Amino acid sequence: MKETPILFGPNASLVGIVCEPIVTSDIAVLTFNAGVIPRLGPHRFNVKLSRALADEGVTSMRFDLSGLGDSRPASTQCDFLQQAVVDVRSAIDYLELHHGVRRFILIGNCSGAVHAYWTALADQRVAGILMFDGFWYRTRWSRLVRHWKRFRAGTWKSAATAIARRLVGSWSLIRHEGGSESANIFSSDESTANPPRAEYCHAIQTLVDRGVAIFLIFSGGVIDAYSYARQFRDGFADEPFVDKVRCNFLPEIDHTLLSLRSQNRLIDVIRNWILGIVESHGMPAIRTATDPAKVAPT
Amino acid sequence: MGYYLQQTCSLHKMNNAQTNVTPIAFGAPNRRLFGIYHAPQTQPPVSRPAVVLCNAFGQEAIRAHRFQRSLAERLARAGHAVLRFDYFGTGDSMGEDADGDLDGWSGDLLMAHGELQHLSGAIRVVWVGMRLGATVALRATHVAPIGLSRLILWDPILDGTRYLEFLRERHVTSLENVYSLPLRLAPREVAQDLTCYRDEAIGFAISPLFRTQLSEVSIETHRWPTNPVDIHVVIEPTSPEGNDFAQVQIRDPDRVRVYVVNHGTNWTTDTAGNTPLVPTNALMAITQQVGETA
Repeated sequence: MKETPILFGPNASLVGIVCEPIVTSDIAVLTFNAGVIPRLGPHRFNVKLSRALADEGVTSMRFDLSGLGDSRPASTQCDFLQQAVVDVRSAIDYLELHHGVRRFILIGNCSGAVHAYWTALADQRVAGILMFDGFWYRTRWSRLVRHWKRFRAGTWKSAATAIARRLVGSWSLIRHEGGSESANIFSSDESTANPPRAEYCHAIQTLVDRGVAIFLIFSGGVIDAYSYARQFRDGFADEPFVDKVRCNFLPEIDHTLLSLRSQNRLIDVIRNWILGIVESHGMPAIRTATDPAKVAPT
Repeated sequence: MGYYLQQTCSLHKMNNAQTNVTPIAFGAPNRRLFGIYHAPQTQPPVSRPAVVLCNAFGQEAIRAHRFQRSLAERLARAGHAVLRFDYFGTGDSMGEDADGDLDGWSGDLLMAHGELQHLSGAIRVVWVGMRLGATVALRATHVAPIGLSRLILWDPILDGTRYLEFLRERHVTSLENVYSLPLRLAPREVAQDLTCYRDEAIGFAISPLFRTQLSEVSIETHRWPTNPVDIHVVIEPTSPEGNDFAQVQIRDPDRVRVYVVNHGTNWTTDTAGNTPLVPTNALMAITQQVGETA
């Protein structure tokens, strides 16, 4: 495989690394920042994922959004979310122009999932999005299941503490023994980043109708938001897209991919999903990374 | 696994016009390293020492990224050429986590030193080492690279065994916090078995070789370099390394200076947290000490 550092985008303000296998398909994977973490991803996850994908013949590019990591702030008037879409599309443009890739899969982790979602809606070249701990919608069972799981996992001491604190009105501050309700941005009752449910349904249906592969993964770090495996299916049972969207609840994986076991598990899951997309698209190997002359720019 | 980190960026064509920032790849073909080169921005150019930033390890390196970028930009505006880079097996450089080791990284630093001299034309070079990067820098000075004029060490690691235990403790604490539900086997209980959590620390693999090298790092085993001329240490008042350096300063007051700076950085936190990414007083202290070499 070959990795190439690049500058791209308006005024060459964005920094990225293109990771190419020797023989690749006509599809590429994009990864970018999660929160303020640089393009490496949490605990270098994006680097490890890129190289695992290259071993399977999939090109990828990891890069920093404007103002994050090594990329310079944008000179536009866009707000952060709008600018992120512009940046991701700049990465798509770069790979299309310089590497002849025409279809793209966006891997979004936490806040990155939000950028993947909005970019997919804005750009027809997106063939798939993976949203790891992205938008979430509770069902009537979510809280009950969460409380039951907490109760089952806790100790008498933690249960007594929880009850006592609730009685004095500080329920939101409860920290159970061995875990934390405030470990991540999903702890609040409602995430301001979640689009209204009707808008979300319309968007997902639009993407499904367009043939975009959608994969939602929820970790064991966001049980406040997503507490049981069927939550997505229960929540959207009446929607036509429900059988077209893949959703996995992986409680053994933590939100920040802290353990190597979590990292390896998620890489396996993502790799298998992406290879499935490549296969389903019947995409042929188009070139070799060691022979750039064979790249056919569009 | 075949692997190659290619340099395609022509420095003249590919650098960022406004900040003169260029991502580069350098080093031997089987040990390609990724770096960001910041060209000096003063007009007309002035002759100032170039600066290599030696990164910390693992999660601490992730935390230090924003600081390094801010420091590099500030120094470049003052007329210094700056190179920040990833050691082998870290960041965007070749290699997996477990491929990293202290001797290899010392060699990488020397390679970066030469690369920076080549890119900038500067003869004198200052190394700024953060946390374990300071340890790597001290280790590399025994080669006495031409032009090295000052070491600036920020919160350096002088006791490898203590550092390994610190990483292990933080790993356990982080594991306790990242899951919404308690793990079936409580990390703190698991950690009582000293064979557990030895091969990873806060998201990064640790090889047996790296662990052995780290455990051998101590104030007694440090050979203090005869070159460069001076060593400046920026350290938190609560740092256990502070006393160690105070002893070194007493022994060699002309070359070693210790600056106590209360910067409040949480080096290992995994969340945004209530901790500075770019502590101003540390930034100012280091910038000033680099500036003194001009």
